Amino acid sequence: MQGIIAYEVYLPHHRISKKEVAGFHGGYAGKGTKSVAHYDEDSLTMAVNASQALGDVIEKNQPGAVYFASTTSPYQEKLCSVTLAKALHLPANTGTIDYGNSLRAATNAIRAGMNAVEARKGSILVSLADRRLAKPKSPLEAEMGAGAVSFLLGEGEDVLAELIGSSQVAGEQMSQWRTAQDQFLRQWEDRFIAHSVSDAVLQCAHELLNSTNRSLESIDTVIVAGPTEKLSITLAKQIGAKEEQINYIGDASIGHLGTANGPYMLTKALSESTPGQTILWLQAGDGCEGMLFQTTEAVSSYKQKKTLSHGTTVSYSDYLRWYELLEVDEGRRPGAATPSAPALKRNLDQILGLFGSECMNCGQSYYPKQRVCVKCHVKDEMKPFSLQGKRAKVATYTVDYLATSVSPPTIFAVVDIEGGSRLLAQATDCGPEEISIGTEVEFSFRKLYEAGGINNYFWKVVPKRGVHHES
Amino acid sequence: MSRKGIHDKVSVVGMGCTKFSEHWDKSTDDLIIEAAHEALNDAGIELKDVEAAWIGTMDSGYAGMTLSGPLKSDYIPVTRVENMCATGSEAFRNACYAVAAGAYDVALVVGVEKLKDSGYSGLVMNSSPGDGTSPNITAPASFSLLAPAYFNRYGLEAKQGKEVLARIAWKNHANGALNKKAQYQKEIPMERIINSPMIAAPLGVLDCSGVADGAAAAVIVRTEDSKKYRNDPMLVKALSIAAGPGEGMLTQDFDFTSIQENVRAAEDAYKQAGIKNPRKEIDMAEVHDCFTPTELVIYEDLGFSERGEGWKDVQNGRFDLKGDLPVNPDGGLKSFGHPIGASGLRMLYEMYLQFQGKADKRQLDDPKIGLTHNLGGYPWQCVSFISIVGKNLS
Repeated sequence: MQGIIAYEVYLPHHRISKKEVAGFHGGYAGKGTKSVAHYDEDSLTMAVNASQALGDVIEKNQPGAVYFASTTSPYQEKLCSVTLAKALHLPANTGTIDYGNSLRAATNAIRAGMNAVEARKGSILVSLADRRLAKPKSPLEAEMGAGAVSFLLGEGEDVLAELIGSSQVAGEQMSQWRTAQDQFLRQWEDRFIAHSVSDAVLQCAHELLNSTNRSLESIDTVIVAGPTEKLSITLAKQIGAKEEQINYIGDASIGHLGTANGPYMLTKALSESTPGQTILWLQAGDGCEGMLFQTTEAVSSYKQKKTLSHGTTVSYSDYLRWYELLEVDEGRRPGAATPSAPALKRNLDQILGLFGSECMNCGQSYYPKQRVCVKCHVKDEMKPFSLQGKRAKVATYTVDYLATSVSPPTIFAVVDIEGGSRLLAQATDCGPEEISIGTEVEFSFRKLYEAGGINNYFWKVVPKRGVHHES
Repeated sequence: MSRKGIHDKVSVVGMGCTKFSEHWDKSTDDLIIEAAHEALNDAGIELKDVEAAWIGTMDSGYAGMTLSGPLKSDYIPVTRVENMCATGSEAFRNACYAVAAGAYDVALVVGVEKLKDSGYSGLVMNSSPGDGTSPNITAPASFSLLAPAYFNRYGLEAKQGKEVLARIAWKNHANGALNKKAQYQKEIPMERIINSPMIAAPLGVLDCSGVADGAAAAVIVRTEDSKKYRNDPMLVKALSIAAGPGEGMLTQDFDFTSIQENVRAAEDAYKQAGIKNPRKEIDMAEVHDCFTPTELVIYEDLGFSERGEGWKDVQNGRFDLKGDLPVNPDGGLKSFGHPIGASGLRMLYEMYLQFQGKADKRQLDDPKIGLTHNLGGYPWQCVSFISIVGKNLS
């Protein structure tokens, strides 16, 4: 049996209401909110956070490859899957592939992953993330959310949902696109898309159902992941799916997650499924790709580990600054220096893997890594020690109004780590009122800043919040 | 720690100090020339009498040419010294050792910093290229980490703690108001300090030292030669500096209510000077009040107050100009200003004036033993310098 072994979702902590967006530009305000990436989040950071939540599943299954899919990769030329693999402590001989250029990057990556599983290449980690931008005041603006979903694909008893079949149909048309220079998503008229995409979706569904000897009526859950929420519903209805079969983001609290949108709907379907149910996923994007899953016994006992944030609502001015849509004064402080590539390379495990060191003589652990133990003064008797997943709490803190930041003030916390080490970390996704001495925090992968064309990624801390799942 | 030190072997026979200020119209060279010549004149010597010089600056110049260029010294050795905010003190320490060793008979030390040409607010330090993951925490924020930790440990409410800190700034401003060379010569009401705009919570802008340009200088000779220059030299009784291994941010033993480097430097200095009870034996001190919580912690680290009692001594006025142990009689970094490389020498300058009875309206009643404390770095890892200076041989 081959299919999905595990999944995790990462949603940013922040939301903006469609009313707030409309309040700025005027015009019609839709209902609900969309998820907003913080200023220090991009598709790669979200993918790392979603994947890191797979933690022990990754350790147990040691993926043979990591696939990253996004239409908003932070680099035009540089593989994010490589960074992702490093952050997850995977060895250098792990396969690494990035997919992009269309919402179908999601199904491209998952299908390729399934092919690799079938070819006995071991389990495959697939992470899908997006943070798409539409032009301010455009109808899409209030809908384009941000988030990431990670799947571990593999075989054996742990499979939650087996892949029964797949199909794909190419569709050459201008529905949603960006040129190499475009910052904002372009889209043709809704009604044209509904008309033109539906042919591909219909054909794709038809071929998939035929090849697996199923009728549409027999399918328990139908996911049509279209270019927009509204079009997703329209397209689902066009193929003849009944209301009760259709799975979509009903309350529109997080918006359209781009490449992660279909996968997010799939995780929701999986979390609501009982064993033996079928899920048909039709992913539109330059045509359509379909996948048919059947859940197994294992689906009923599966629990996501990642706490899904309900989010804090932000203002449109925060949104403009965080997405760099508004140029702001940096204050009378020097800008960030370009990180040194040799220094980054030397400290790769330390930075991405959050590895410090532990003294084999006295047991004291350190972050960053040390060669000489400050406790017992023995030299070069250290072994790697990662802070990932360790319990951490605040020893003292400060709220820095002077440090350069897109979103001042900056909170710095002295963080004590289970096992005896300590580090000075930046706290994010929280206000000063959420940090005090003794606050429990956890690590979250973030972009510290960009300088000289280098996105400097590192870990920050966020207050450990209660377990809530988005409903 | 057991170090012999150079107890009373060398003396300061001349000093100079520019006004600390935003010197828009003066260059680094101008400041060096002004402070150096004031010190030489005060010692009654000329530059040609100086056999070696030290120039302390963090970022305002590199190498000995920083001094030999503007002063036009005659190919004598000049060493440029940097030890973060303790730079001026460190230049002084090295010059003292060279004279004590007998390598030179007369040494000149100048400390200088030109901060206001950068256009930045606050202090900005050049840093070497790195991976860029070190937190971009600012100086006030790094020292403000002491505040919640101290309040928490000794049970001070946030409001009460803020008042204690403001009381320290208030005292230093009151002292600075009596000093013609200070950057800020104005008393500031408690209310205004408490309500000043937030820089690094709980510190407001008036909890922070002044950002200034300035220079200070000293002429050092062996004590046996000092009477050739003047009858009232200042004797150097102890010099210590402790550089920390960074334990504070590596292990959980450090609780941010004390700075270990201060404690170690003080132990060493007291031993060299033969001081058993600093709270009683020291008549006055200039300490590194870069931010108000730093001064609070220093009281306890240097044994001026018992652990956890420093805040009470602040409130009962022990460290005021008229208190039992006046601290920062010249206004401190807070009110005198903090041109990095010059500050350590500025502290010694105040000791020198006080011993000679030249401290004007802030003159203390015949002080005999003084302490200067100068710190560079962060509360969790720094260099901490202490000198004990005196009026008489002991």
